[in-house]
Amino acid sequence: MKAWWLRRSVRLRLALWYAAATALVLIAFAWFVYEVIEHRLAAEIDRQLRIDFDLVEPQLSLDTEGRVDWTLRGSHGDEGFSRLSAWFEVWSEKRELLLRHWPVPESNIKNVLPPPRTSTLSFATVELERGLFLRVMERPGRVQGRSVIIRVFRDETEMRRTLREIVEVSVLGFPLAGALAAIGGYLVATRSLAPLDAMARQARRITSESLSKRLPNLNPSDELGRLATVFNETLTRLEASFAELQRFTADASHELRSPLTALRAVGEVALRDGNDPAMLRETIGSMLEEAERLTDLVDALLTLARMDATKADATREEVNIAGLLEEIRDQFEVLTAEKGQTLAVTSNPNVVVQTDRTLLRLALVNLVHNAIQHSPSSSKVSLAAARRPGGVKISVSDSGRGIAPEYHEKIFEPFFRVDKARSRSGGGGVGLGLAIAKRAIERSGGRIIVESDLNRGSVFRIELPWSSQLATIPATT
Amino acid sequence: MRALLIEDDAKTARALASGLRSAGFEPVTAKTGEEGFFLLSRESFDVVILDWMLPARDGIEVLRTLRAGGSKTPVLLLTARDAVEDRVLGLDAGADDYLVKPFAFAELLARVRALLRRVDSGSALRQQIGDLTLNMQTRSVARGAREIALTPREFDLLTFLAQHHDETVTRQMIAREVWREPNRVTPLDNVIDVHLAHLRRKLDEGETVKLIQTVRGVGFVLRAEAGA
Repeated sequence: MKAWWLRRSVRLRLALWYAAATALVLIAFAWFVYEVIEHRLAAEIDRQLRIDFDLVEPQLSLDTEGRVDWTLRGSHGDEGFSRLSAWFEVWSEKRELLLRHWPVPESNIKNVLPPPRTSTLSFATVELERGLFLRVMERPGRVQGRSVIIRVFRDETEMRRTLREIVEVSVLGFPLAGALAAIGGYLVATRSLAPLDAMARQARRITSESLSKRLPNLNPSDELGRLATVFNETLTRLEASFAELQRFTADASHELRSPLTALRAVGEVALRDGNDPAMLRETIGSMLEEAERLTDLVDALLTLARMDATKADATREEVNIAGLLEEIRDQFEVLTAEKGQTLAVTSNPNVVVQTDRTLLRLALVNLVHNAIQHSPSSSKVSLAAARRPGGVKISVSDSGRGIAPEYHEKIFEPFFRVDKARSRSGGGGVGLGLAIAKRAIERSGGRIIVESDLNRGSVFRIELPWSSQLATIPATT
Repeated sequence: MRALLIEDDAKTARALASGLRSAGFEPVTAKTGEEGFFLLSRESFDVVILDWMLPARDGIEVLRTLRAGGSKTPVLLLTARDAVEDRVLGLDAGADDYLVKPFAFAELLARVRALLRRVDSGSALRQQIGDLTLNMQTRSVARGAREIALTPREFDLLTFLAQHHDETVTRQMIAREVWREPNRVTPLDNVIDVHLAHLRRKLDEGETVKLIQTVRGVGFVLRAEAGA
């Protein structure tokens, strides 16, 4: 049933909802009306019975033999009532029938009510015979000083017919009203869902080739407008990552093909005119170098790809930042010493964060390597860590040539090089070092920015939370 | 020394077999896991070099069956899968060592020799290569009568080269074994080069026999006799 329901179109479901709601409201309303009318009619009959009693009682008299007699007296307006419809019985206190006046001959009615049980005022509804419902009032009265019980009757048939008509009209009317509501609901739903259909058709036309197209947004403040806005934002992001992917693919294929080309060219040339063993050795050495370059590149690319793909439950541990920075300094000191540079570490010894040590170290090592590479001889590279609200900040500063502001975002893109001629630095020397660093920091729930200007050196600033919930970052390369 | 090489890529298999032969091994090659397992059940080998990705019956399966049969032959697993879980899976299945493709042949040779050495290990406290003397206990180094002062890192590096003397070692091997750096992406090459340059200056400057030689495109070798 549920599956059937979910398979229907929204518009049909809306129509059925309308119909159901309308029917429910109608039924409740009809029931209420019925109750009110029934109550009113019943009260009216009881009122009539009291009037009947008041008319009948004074017209009763005792004849000489002590029998109760009914004499028509009073205003002529009552005559019609008396002759046609006066319907009553007079009982003695000993439950003897003293007088019976029925509008039809007694023999026509088979059942007779038993004598009254109490001598107090009481109302009751009885079915005297099939289909003949009577409302009965019993009330003590007096006939010339003698106590009697007078029983007055009124026919309920008319009232019952009225009520039955109400029910009949309702039963006939409900399906009609429900159907009308359903049709109306269907039309309204169709009308209000039409823009959605149009939107779906337009969205289908937007493919990977036409990602620059956007959905028309007539009214950004209504529900459909908001939907279109959200959809367009998604399209914008999709378009951006498509462009990113295309650029990345182009760059990667260039970077992969260059060493392959060198490999083939060197090999083919050596094969054609290499008879000198020394020259062949040289050639093979050069080919092996290219192979190594390719290996490094593939490793770096896989590292980058894997950082996106790995599950977010990677290992977290307590990492002492000062300890990590000193470890990195010890590793790279030999390089800085070679260039006459100084590598300074300033950090509070007790700064500890919960993070993936391997990722953080990978990022820092790439940044430090980068800084050393880009700093001139006899300059200073510094590594500093300090607390900040909610976490820790680490900075890697160099005294290099600096990076123009327009490249501050781009340097983190894979294969981007400010100076195209000066190639290979960091990330195994394949131009992926900063991209790897950025991805690693973002995976750790932190962020990384660069502050730099031309000829003023660069500062890479990392901000990490105390405890990194390793986040699955959106796949934008 | 008989080595069984189970590798489906014909070119790789041929190159490795020829390399092993010139290194003094007697290599036998198998193209499929089935064939390899057949050979293993009939003949005895000193070492098995096993590719993980094989057609039909893969390397891990061969390895499991081999170990289930009680064989203790050392197995070196070759694979392009370098995720930590894959390593664990490979070692759990009974591999003695694990080498990620692409690798330098020098490294494969070093690993195979290390596997064979594992059987009769017991590292020397003193090592003599030509006129170079290494004393592991006092961590002192001398060439002839000349005492050479080394930093701890340089000593570790020299020890590693000496353990693999006459074998080429790659920078990657040095990074992993001396620097204990498991991550292949960490930019350590420059650091290693500088340390090696220092070591070279201290060992070989002024000497006629240069002990540390560069093998272009591959790595370095510590050798007492002048090689090509």
